Amino acid sequence: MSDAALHPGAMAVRAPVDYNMAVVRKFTIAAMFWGVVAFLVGVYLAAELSWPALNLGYSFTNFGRLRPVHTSAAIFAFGGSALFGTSFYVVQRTCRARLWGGEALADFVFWGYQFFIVMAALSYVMGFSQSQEYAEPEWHLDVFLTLVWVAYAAIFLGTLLKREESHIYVANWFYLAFILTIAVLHIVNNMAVPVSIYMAKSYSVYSGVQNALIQWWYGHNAVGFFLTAGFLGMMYYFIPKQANRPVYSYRLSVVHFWALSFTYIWAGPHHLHYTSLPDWTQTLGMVFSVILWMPSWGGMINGLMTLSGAWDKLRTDPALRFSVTAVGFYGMSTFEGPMMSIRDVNALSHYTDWTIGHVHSGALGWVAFISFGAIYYMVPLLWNRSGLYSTKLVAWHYWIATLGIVFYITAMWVAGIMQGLMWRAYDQFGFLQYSFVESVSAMHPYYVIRMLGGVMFLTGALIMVFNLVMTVRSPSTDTKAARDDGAALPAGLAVAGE
Amino acid sequence: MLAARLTGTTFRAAKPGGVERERGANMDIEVGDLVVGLLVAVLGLIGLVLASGALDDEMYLFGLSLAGFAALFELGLIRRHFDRREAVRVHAAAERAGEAGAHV
Repeated sequence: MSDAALHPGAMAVRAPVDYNMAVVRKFTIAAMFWGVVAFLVGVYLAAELSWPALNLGYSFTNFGRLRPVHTSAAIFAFGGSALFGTSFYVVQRTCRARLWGGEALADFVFWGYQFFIVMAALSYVMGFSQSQEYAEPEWHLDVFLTLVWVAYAAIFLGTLLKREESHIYVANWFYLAFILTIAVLHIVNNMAVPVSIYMAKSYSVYSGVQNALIQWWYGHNAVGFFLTAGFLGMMYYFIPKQANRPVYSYRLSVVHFWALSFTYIWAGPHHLHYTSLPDWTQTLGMVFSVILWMPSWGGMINGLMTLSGAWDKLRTDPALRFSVTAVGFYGMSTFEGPMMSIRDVNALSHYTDWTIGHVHSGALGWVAFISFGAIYYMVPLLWNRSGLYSTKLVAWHYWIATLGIVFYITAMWVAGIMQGLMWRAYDQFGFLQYSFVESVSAMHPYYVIRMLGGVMFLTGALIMVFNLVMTVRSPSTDTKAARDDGAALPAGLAVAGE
Repeated sequence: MLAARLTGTTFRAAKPGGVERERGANMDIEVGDLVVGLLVAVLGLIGLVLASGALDDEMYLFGLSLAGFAALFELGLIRRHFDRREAVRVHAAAERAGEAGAHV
């Protein structure tokens, strides 16, 4: 009979687990590096759109080739590295188990993923692309990514299977949905026949409207499961840890998970309104998109209400401010998205810069901010430091980045609605009132404002990099020195499944 | 050492001139190193094959880069293996020194 059974009041003392944090540190560094790259390329592209001569006349600096570099760097390199890193951190700590498969497999996932990113970026600037949004890499890169992804899934599942905790914390469910669904989406959408095994060029097995539907089933669920489910996993672990409060409603988080997973997968066809896709399929996508509003806001409310009784922490912890603002942007984007999927609204918004504004309120406000909050929380713990180098710099980062987003999205809303209205305006004779180039010309001031917003966001990220580097290197954050001074360690008691 | 890797065992110097076999503790890590090392070696060879027959610049660059990636990854595995062995040796030496100090 165990000691615990003999002495029911006694708490069992468990041996500390030797977690693999080396791979988490690597992914954290990679996330910050790729974040700066993504924002920098974004700013350059925004400047190109304002002043097209900035493409310098080279093929590899033109908008068409650099645009996928920007989107892939932001989504897959920055967002992906943040997701890999935090998922490895969260699954180990909530399962009380070291990563399955050993260091070599975790290293393969890290270096393999970085290799994929670099090779994909090089292929874009060389002009090789499948021409499918967010799925640009050609077949050989897709096969390589599949190998890395299978290794990632094996590590995550293996760690869950050997867990020392009976319960699987809800954040892991979201991470698992992200890993498994992206695997299915990636394989199905990238089914292609190469011209030759020695040639990069390939042709999709789907054609015509089927190709478009599969592509947007993939594209929308890349948003749903890469940019939403994965980062919700981050939200459900890091906000309770930062606020030092349990999740507001664990039941709601489980309902959120299943409702989101079931609903998201049907919403893709709203990207194909007014196309040759059958009407009923368009309507199906629209209806499921509107239904999606409810689970999304359930999750947002759950995230925000977790701060009940801890709102005062927002004054003193600017890193938590990032996480909470991210949830606010999540709520805003997940209201705007369903609204834009309604056919009549879509008639105005589609193909305009409104869509670009919507995407960036999600990408910058939700994805980047929730990642910044998590990284600010993790770095002192990962490098065993007493705290961040400067909370004042975190506050500067927060306000500069928030203002940058506001500049960006308001400029794009105005530009997008103006574009939509100009394209549909008729004169008294029934002719189009404006030529296309007049609408392009009218966009110029908004494109400049958008670029300024991007510069501000990039500046904030550079401040963050400086702050994190100093956190790791400065003697002022040394744990030993802090103990001598009687300084407090960063907040982070066992709340979220630990 | 190859036998040790295949059987998932590690060797640790216990006393001057001798070795003590530890079984089990690092088994999954050692087997993991071996499996991943073989997988990456195969990827490197595929890279060389692709580069050798490449019909466009992209495949040539990818093939060579894959081979380079594999070579660097294998070197990293080898380095980590010897670093780990060195760490065990240093740890054992420190333990021996501690025991000797306690006897004095």
